[in-house]
Amino acid sequence: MKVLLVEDDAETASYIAEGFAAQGIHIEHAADGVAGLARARSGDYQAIILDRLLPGRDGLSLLQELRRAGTITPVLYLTAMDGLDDRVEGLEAGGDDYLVKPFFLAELLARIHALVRRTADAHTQTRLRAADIELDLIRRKVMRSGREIALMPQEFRLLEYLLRNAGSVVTRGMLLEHVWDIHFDPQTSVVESHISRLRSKLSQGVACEYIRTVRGSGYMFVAHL
Amino acid sequence: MLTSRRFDNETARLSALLIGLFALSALLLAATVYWIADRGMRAELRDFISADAGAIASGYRSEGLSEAMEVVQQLTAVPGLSGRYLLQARDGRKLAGNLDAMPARSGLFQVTTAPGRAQAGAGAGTRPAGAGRHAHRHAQGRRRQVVLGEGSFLPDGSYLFVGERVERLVRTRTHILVSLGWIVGATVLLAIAGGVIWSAGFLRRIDAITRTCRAIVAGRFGERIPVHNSQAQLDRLSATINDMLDRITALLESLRQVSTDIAHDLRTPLTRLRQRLESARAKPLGARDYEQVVERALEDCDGILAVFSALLRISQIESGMRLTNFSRVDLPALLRQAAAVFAPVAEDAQQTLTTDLCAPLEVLADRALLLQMVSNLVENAIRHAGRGAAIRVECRVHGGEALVRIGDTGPGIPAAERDKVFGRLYRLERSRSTPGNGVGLALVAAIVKLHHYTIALTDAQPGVCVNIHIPLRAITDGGPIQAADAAATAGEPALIGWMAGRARATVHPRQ
Repeated sequence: MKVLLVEDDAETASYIAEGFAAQGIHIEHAADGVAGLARARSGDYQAIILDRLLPGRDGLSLLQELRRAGTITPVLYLTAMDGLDDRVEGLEAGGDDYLVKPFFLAELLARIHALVRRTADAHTQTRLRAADIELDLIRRKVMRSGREIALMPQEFRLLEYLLRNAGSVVTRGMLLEHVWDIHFDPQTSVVESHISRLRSKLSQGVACEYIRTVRGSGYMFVAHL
Repeated sequence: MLTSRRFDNETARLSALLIGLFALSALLLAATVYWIADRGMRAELRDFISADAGAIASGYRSEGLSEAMEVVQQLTAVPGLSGRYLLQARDGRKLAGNLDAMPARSGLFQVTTAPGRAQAGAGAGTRPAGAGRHAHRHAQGRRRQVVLGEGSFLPDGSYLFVGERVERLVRTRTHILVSLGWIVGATVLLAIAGGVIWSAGFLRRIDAITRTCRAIVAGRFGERIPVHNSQAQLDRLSATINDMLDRITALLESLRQVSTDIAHDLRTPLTRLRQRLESARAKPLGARDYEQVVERALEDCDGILAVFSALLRISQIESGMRLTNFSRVDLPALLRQAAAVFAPVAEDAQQTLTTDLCAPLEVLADRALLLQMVSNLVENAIRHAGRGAAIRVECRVHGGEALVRIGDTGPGIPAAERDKVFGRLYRLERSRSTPGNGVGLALVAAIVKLHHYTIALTDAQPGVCVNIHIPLRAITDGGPIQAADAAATAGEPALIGWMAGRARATVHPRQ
């Protein structure tokens, strides 16, 4: 996998490059907006990590230019601009995800994985399958080994998100944003409570842990035990 | 100072211009008055002259020269007369009248009598007084007299001059000129005085503004420009500057508050983190212990970062930068969503979370912030109410407002501390041991203020209840039409309908 990183801070860039290299992801680095745009146009990347405040050309206009030119590579903003307006503005300009500095490498990795996977999925799927669990996305039904499991709407969304990213880590932040539309840090263990409920409903009778806790990062749906 | 001298010059120029205009208009007025008065008096004089000349001429026509002489003698016999007459023969000999003989000349003209002669009719020569004018020694006048009159020739060639002393005219003219002079002078003086007073007042006000601005520059942010409660533009300017200063001061205060809070409350966790790392370095530890220390350190860092972002968010909201994201939000639906998110958390803490919500009700709000506000309050209840508590989320329309209540049956908050809990980083002494960074309620207060809601804490006996009053009218003004309009305007019957439509739901009855 090849990812383009447009970031002017050399230290942040090398921190990301090292962390991604350890996961077998190759990072190409551009230090300013102009070089970033040129690379993004010519290269074949699975994803682009884009800083918003860049020398030469700001990230927002860079992305707008890129989208006008027809490039559909998923883009994640990695920026210190953390206002909700900034987020909305960034996503409207054609961004796919938004991560605020300071960030954790695990979070960035998980989000990039999810982005790449989301683009790979044709999104026209009507069913999601993993191990003996099957989600009917139209009827909003969950079957395990042919037996229906009753889930609350939020639990269904949680499971769907985990399944779509099966095999990859999803962080608490990703779950809060995508499942509950919460863009702030809750002071209580919201994610943990919902996950534990989902786990107990999924493993009715059959003791089996599909949803693994990844310490310090988040959760992962593991289909092959 | 350069700018103030420059300004003085400006004022002086403006005053001079004003004075000049005043003087010019006074002069114009004086000239007009003078011209009209002079013309009127001259016309009157001419009427007198032609009446007398007519009488003498008609005497001549009926009975000849002797009768004309008779009329002249009769006319001059009146004592204190201002009329001047001369009838002289063809050869220049004076026949009658109170003027000396003079060269005959017809038409309207002015003659000047020579001064110094006391005797009337004393034969003396004439002397020229300017081109075509003749000076006469006048019989009775010690002083030089100016006579305006009309000369004409009678059919036999004798000459008749009838005139009137213009002394009166000149005197009146002089009086008019003098009084007009006074008027112009007084006007100019008044203009100068007015200009000085006006510019002094103006300068004083400007100086006050300058003084205040300098004080602000010098760091005395409490200084304000005195305003005199009038609608004058200078007052409006002063009031506007004062408003601006208030706003800036509030922003500064908020900024200072944030820095103080950060300095004060982040020092504790940072010190704790440092101590932990220090003691880890001091003691010989195994790999597993190190891992634990790192884990704890990371948790501490997360906590510190969370406080940071919460504080920044509060100041962002308080500075009013986030008014752009307002849209229609279904309030009960949002509350239901929040309750559904936190119900499992409450249940894990052996609490119940129930809702009692009214029918769909749209309000104009920032959805993300409203959700955060409700979430913070619910989480606060979960964290502080303790085991077995019942948490309620309610929403109803009451009068012209929507009332959102989030109550619990926990230990409550002492009355004395209720106002303080919305301040930044405030935590009750007994909750220091429970997790949380103390900014949750400050954030709630900031969001409430941004939306122009009001918030109040009441004693739920037991427990505490947070009431958020959402004025529906205020939201309607300038905003999109909302579902509450009907209820807000139609009054009681509609309200009863609303109440009947309320849905009672328990979010988490399972298990």
